[in-house]
Amino acid sequence: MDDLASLQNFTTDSTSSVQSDAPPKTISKKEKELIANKDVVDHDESPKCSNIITSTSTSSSTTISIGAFNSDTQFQRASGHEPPHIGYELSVAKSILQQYSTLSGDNLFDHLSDIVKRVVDERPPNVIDFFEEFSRNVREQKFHVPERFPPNAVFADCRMFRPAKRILHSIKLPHNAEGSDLGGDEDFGEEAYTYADGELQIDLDDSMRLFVSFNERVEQLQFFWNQCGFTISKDDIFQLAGSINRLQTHPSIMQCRFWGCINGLKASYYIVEASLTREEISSRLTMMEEEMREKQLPFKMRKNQEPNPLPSHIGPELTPGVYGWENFSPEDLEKMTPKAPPVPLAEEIEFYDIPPELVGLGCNRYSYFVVNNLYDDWIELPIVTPRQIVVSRQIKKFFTGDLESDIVSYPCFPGKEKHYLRAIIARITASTHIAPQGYYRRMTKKEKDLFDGVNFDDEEEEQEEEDNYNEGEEDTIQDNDVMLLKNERFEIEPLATLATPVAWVHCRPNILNQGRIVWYDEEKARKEREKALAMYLKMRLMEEMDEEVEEEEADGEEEGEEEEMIEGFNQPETGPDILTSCASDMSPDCVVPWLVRFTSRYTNQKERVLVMQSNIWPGAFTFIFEKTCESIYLGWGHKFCRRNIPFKHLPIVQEEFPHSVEDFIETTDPSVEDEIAYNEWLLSKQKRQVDIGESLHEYDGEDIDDYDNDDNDA
Amino acid sequence: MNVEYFSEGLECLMYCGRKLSPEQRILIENSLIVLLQENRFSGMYFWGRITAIKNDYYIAFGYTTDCLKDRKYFYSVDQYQWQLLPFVQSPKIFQATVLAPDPFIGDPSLQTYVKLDPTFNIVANQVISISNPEVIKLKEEERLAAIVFIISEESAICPRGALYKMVDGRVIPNQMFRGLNDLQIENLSYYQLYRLPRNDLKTNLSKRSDYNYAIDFLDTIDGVIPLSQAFTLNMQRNERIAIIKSCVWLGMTFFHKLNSRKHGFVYLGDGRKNFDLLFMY
Repeated sequence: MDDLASLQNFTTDSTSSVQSDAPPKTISKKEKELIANKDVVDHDESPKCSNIITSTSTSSSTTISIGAFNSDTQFQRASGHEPPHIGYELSVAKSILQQYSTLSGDNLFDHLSDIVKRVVDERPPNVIDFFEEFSRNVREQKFHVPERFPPNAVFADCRMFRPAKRILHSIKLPHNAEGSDLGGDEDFGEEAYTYADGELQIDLDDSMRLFVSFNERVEQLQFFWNQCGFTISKDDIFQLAGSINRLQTHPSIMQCRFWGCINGLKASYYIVEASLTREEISSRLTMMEEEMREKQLPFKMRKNQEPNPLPSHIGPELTPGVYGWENFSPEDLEKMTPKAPPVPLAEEIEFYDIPPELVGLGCNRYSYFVVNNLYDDWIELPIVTPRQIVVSRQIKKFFTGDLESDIVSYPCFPGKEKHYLRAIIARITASTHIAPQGYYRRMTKKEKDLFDGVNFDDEEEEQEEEDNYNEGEEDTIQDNDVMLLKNERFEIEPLATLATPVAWVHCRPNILNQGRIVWYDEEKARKEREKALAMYLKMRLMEEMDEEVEEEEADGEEEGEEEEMIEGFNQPETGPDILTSCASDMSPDCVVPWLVRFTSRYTNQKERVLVMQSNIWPGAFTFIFEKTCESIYLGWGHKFCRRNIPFKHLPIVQEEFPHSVEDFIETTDPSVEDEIAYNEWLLSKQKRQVDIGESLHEYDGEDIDDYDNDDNDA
Repeated sequence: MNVEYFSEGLECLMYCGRKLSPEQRILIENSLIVLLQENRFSGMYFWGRITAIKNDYYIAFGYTTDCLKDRKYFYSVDQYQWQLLPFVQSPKIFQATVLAPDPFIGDPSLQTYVKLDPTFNIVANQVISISNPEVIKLKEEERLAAIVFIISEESAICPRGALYKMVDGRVIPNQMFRGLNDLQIENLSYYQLYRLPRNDLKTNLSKRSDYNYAIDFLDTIDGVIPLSQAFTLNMQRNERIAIIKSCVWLGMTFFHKLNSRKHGFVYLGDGRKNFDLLFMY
């Protein structure tokens, strides 16, 4: 009895052991003793088993001995008293089922009763079809439970823990910064006010407020995106709104909007388009101009240029020039120039790039901020150069999600992934940001001046100007590189008339094949550089000769060359203007550049939204509903191609250096004596280098002799 | 994606950037339930959308007994009435479908002509003969059927254990499937291609030590060529959802929720194969 009870105590974690408490009363003593014997045998055979059932091996052995003793006494007392009956048979069967496994310490009885319990409790459908699977699940779960509770165990971090903590960190509430809180509220109120009016107000303390044309309210836009059937997830959008707000409160940012999302292999980029404040732009401009001036300089004029040190020793040393030179004295030999051709050195060839457009102009008018996870800080992308745009047109890559990773491509992309991303963003923006005709308008001249900060007139004047900007349409500036303003007098047409690309116009300037928005005269620049270089070289020359004469001459030359430049004026490259119709979009591959879709075709006629889908950049969408018109890009950043992108082929393998007959002259190998002599010469040469005191004039003719003999034999 | 958890699945799949508009969602969900009832299917799945110029094609499939072998595909232009997609057998049509350069138009009865690639044969003495490129007449309905078949063969995914092979050889969704756990969810070898296995049973079984005849008969996606480039796996929403995107068929997205039996794939794209894949890494 004790034995059975003790065993049951040790296996209390199994559900069946509780149930099996009831039968022992009916079990005959003979059978009990049988069980006991079996258990004893089990324990003896496998110490492993006892380990699992009991906590320590010593205690188990004591229980076993007690059990054995008890069963022996029971056996003597109760043998042969009971006749065979069903209860006995049942208990025999049960005892067989209850045999503990020597491997896992589990028994079938427990397992079966677990399964039955689970089936009755959970009632899974068709459990007979998946019985093996179900049984496996039950067993798996059973073993998971006790593992959790060992007191010394390490609690593994939950998978969601780390991101959850970072999200919390990013939206940490300000503790006692009440002032900043209030400020934030005020900002919000102002914004709401300007939007509610639907008209742009001149903010007294910030004239730039006039030029806010971005819709910054992400959550409101999210509603429309959701209606249109493209969106990022709901949880993300709140975080996005929060982090955009964080970005916006930065002093150097005037306005920003959610640009879209580009998928990457490991992570995707959330991208925000922002325009900087005037002060920020001007401070960046000074830096950039300096840098550009440096780069514009012809290669040879750069200050930091250092002559590459010649390689100290490549191949055989050169021989002095004249045949039969052994007869000359060492002093003469020194003056001789070597006859063998010098070792060719890599020479840097000057390579001019078309300069990038200045910050705040052209392709770099807006700056872009990206982030992989919305709880991280925004990272600003570098400015884009024309060359990056040109090369990005020739390649097609997946984004990895790491801004610093290399772009392995042919032709070689000048930059990292962030540069590639920036170039792609510039291209997508230029070709897919559209709006209905009349939604945007150009700035008037006065506004432009104000925008550029040229003249700060009184506010009254500005307001007057504003009042007549529509009348004075003739003085709108016909320039491609402009920022557009929202047309306050825009009236939405019925959507049915807008459902054709003809009614839509591009609201971002086109990027030329050159990679810029404003055409850059390469030819002119080249000539200017040549001139500058010529002048510089001349100056260097003059510096050596005489300083005074040089200036006059240079002036004279400049005049002459200017005339030349006028002669060599070449045709600027042109592309479609800003605000040209989408119907005139051309693409050799894509037959239909724009798809038009309504969000509701049948039912909700009143509140349906019109969606324009770009085919050229799959993933670019623009929707319009009443006065809200926004473009967004959600995709891989790949342009449409008809079948596969025409990758540029590698150039033909270059020919080797042409060898003439003299290059291959057979020679006799140097003899042992020659080699020894040569080594001696080398040693003596080293020795001489160590001795600084010795002058070069004490050149030993003989040493050279030895070495050069070798060469001459050759 | 199973119609049982249609909206929830769409929410999880929006990491591809696209989803359905509310009207489309309501129409599709309900018309698919009707379709399920009319055809006495035991499972109904929304397959995705193929963008066309005039009307988009919406695709769905259902099965009665075996969820791999007797799938029946349907397409719809108005998301309301579903037509059975024809079964395409001719290999020429498959070739033409993959090569067809023009986008879908949106009219199932439209016929287009597609020029196949010329074939090159080495005749003798290293003289290469070029045969004239064949021109194939392609009906848009057949093209649609072929592209749907190809895409689902190459990039439809299910997590390991979601499909269960019965003793009689039928394959059915595993009712006891409880999802992949923490350790498995980021491993590509725990995802299988939702198609009749092309590899030998033994090869598939021998890939893992804890193999199970009823589960591991399918091909896993970590063996899809180009190796480790055909699919990308991301963890989203606090790392609780695994999102797998196909790089060969951009637009095919698969989701699986951690420790849950919810999983599904949807293709939202224009039916173009990414031929440049090998140059894009």
